[in-house]
Amino acid sequence: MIRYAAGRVALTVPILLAVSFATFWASGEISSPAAQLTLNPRISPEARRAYIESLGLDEPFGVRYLTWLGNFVTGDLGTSLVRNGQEVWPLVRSAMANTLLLIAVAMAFSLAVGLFVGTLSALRPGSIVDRASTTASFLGISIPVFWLGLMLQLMFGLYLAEWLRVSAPLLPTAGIYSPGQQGFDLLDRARHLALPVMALSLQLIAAYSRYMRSSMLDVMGMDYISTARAKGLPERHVVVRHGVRNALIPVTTLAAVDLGLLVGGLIVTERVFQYPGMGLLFLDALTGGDYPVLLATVMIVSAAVFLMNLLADLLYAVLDPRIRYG
Amino acid sequence: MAEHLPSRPGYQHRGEGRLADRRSMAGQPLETPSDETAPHWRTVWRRFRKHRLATASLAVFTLIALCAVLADWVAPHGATEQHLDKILAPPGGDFLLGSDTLGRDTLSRILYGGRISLLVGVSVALISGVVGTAVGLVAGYCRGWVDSALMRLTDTMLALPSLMVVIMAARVLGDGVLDVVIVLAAVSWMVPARIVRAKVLSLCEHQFVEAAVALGVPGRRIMVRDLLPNLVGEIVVAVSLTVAGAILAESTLSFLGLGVSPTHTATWGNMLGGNEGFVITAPWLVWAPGLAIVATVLCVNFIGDGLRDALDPPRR
Repeated sequence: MIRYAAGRVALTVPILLAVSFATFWASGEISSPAAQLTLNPRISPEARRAYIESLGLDEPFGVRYLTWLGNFVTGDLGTSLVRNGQEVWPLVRSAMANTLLLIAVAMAFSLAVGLFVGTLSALRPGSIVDRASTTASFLGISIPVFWLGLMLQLMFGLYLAEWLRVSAPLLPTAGIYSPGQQGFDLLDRARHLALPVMALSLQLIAAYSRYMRSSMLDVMGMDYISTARAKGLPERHVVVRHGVRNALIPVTTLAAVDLGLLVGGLIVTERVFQYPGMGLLFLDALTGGDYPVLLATVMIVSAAVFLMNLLADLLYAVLDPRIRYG
Repeated sequence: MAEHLPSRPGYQHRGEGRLADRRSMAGQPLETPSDETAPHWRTVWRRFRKHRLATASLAVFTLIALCAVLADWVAPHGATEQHLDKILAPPGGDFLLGSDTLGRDTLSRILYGGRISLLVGVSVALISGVVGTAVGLVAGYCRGWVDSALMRLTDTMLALPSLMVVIMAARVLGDGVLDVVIVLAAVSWMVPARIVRAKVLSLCEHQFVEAAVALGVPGRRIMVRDLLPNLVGEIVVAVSLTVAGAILAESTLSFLGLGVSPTHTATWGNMLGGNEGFVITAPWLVWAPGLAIVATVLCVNFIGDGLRDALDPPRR
């Protein structure tokens, strides 16, 4: 088990190196920071050359990559090219904090709803609840996240207030603070989180409830469930302690596989709601040609996703003693 | 597909059926039976029709696809035809779904845009289906280091945050339809590959494969002639679900301004991306293309589900 974990971690290193190389190459292809200077007639060729040299862009590609990699690994993420020379790390740190909050709330919400709905529909397959939740989850995976976000903005920012004859929109549709907000206000923060969480959660709820349903159906057909019933345990006890607990095991790994989905959803959700997290930082860096920020966001997100995948695999083995990795 | 139909007496496994032919015609050139799958597909169609949602979805999807393909005849206006006296007209009258900032009819643009969105969805699914099948087939049949190398690659690609990769790749490649298809296909082949590999591994346990190997049939021929026909069900389901994912991904990319550029042609995604700012003043510009996406993707997902049930009936 420890050897397996060590092997997986060791494999992650070359993969992340490959990712970093590809990203570094791509960021050079996307935009050169000096390109904008070429377009500006007021900048003399000397000034342009000095700028290129100050960024180290006159060096060959390999040297630039290794320099960046060395700095990155030792914790020096460099400075932003467009945000007035702001350091990258504080930018990334605050974006990460915002994103983690959004993920945590959305995950908690969608796990609670998804697992509950999945269990309910597995207990009565073919019932109205089951068929309704199946259809709803198909809808959930068929709605583009960005469009759901736009519709939520329209609904909560405009229509609901009109119908209820209230003057102000029910929920704020962008950002994380109200204008003029001083200091930290829990209620204000929660109100700003509500719509992004809803947009992000729908497809997660759809996925989790599907996984839980099929896992629960498998478990409830097992012999130990019949044994538990035969012992005369109350049905609630059988379902919760014997059924749900075992059904959760495969759901953990499946949930981790969907991390890519979560990251995709995050990028789009943060863009629609102008939520200042890693996704928005990534998109801004991409369109603004801010490659130190771009590289940092891509590397941190990829590393996090790889680590979470690994963690989920190991957790699976811990939760289910029947699984043994060679 | 024989193991899905254990209770059907007289049903011959494709490979085994062919093996019987081989035995009887030892030493003679092998004939390929031409319509062995015909009764099988009739069974599939019968089962598919029992899935009412899937059947209805197939009808709706066919209608949407027909309208998009025949947009030249169906659409009330041209995709780029401008009516500058009726800018941002609300739905109704001459413009059933309103008009946009350049006075173009939303309904017509949805119909013309549907061509591109559907084309992207279908071509991504076909390309990734072919690539995924090839990878899964080779990995599952060759085993050993080929298998572990290919599956390492597949798992790694699966673990990457795909939208991030797609966004960067789209930015590097460009904003044409072909660029978007290439980018999306590059991140869509992994799921078909894993499904195909798993099926190949289980097929290789069957005697008809062992027999073919023993007869000295070359590996490439076994893969194409014996394994591939038995994989059709899995591939069809995986490809149909990829269509849904690709349409969603194209719309997301175009919404972010990184997909098919609106200067080339309208797609459902770039209609939304360009009109995001009008969500309050002209909401029809946002809900109309969005509903087209949701309706299409929902239909494709239901069709995929129906196909899965029809090709691999659930035991419960």
